[in-house]
Amino acid sequence: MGHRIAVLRASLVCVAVVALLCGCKQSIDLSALQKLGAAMNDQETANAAIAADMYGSCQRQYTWRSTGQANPIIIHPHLTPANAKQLARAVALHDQAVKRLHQLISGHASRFEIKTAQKMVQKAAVNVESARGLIPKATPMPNLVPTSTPKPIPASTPAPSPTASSLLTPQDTNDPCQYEEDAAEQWESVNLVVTNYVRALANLAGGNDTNTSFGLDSLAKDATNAGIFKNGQGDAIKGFVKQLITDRSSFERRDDLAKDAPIAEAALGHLIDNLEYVARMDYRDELDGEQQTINNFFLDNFQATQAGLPALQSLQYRATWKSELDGLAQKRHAIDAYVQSLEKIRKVHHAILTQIQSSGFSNLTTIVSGYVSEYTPLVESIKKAYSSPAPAKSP
Amino acid sequence: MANNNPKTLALAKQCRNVANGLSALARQLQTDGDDQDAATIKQRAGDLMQGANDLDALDAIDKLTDPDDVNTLKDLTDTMNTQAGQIAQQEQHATELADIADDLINMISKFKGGDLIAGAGYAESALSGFQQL
Repeated sequence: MGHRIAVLRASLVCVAVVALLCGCKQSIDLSALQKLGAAMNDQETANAAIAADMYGSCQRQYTWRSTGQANPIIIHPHLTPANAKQLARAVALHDQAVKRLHQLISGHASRFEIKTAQKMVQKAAVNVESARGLIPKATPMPNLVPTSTPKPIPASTPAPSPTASSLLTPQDTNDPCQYEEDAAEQWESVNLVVTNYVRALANLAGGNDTNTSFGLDSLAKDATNAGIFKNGQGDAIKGFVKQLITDRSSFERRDDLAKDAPIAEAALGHLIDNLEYVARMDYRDELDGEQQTINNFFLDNFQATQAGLPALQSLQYRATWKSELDGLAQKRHAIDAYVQSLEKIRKVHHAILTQIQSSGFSNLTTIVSGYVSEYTPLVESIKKAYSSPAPAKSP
Repeated sequence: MANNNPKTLALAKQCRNVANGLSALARQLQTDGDDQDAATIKQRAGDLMQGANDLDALDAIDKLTDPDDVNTLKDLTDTMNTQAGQIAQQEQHATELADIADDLINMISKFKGGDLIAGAGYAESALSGFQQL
């Protein structure tokens, strides 16, 4: 028996030496790419907000043009059908993910499948929260009737806060902004193609797995207790075998990335070009139109009646006007931030590709960390432009 | 930068410019007391603004509809997620092997004599499989 234990111990030491050699010579750390994957959650929220506002801008313009007619209109500049739809979609995906998880748990699913489903549920829950965050409380807008004689402005009554059920109610099908809605959906769908790809890149790079012991902690402990290992051999061999498994996975991950990423480079570049174009040209033009519509509204309804307005109300309307234009200026800055954040994705993807192809990973962590540190403020500024409450409209 | 569509963009801008002019005209008519004509012209200006928005939206849809690039990236995303799943399964397999070896060692430590020798043999072969990972 002593002979067999000795053989077992010797074979484990051999494994350890091989593992040590493999680990020292070719260790690859791809875990830096996980930061990219994590960054995509924020990017997705920001992207969804900016794409939805293509439709939102059209809706607001329509409302500005309609305001001042027969009936008082409550303006919800950010409460658009696109936002409501986004929330509805997020809730539906969440419910679907939870249902799938229950099915897996009650069936004969593997731990891996259950873990994947749990991640889906977590991600869907985050999406629901993000979609809810896009919808601020409604603010009332008084009816301003353009006449040469100022009419008393009716006291505004606070609009009820939107509830989840009211947001999920089907919208008017005769939507004057149907093209804008289609464009917003298409924009968001391409945004997701890009962010899902980057997330898959990070997923393939690994490093996010919480199970990094591979059961070896317990094995080494029990083997030591059983007398197979002595004087710290258990810990040493555990470390070597862990390294062996990790390196083997890393080689495979590196090989897969080296195969997949170059194919993606051109397609990713084209999609980023087109996303930037839509933001810089089409959406910016839409915001220009909105600014023009707001100016026309105040020129029609405010200046025409300015002479008769009490001084306090005059000041308040000026403040509202300015506040609306400031909101648009913030969104124009968000366009710049969106374009820059896409450029960061393009550049970091190219840098990763270069690193993988040259088999030199020494700069990978620096490159990705640099990207994330520059990129985070950009995404934050986009989110800020779309999450601030709608400006107060009137006394 | 992708190829843009200058005609669509120029037309949208033209629509907005004309709409702006019509809005100013409507304001003038309103000041002159011609509320009816002002309202008609204002409506026309609104239609033009909406037309400009629609042109921008259609341009955006046109620009973002590139099935080749979208499909390429979507396929790669699926492939990468599958590859990541396979690697995770291999790591899971390694964990399961370590668990088996651990169970065997526990068994060795509990039994004596022939059982211990047999247990060591199983542990050795399990670890040999583990080495082949």
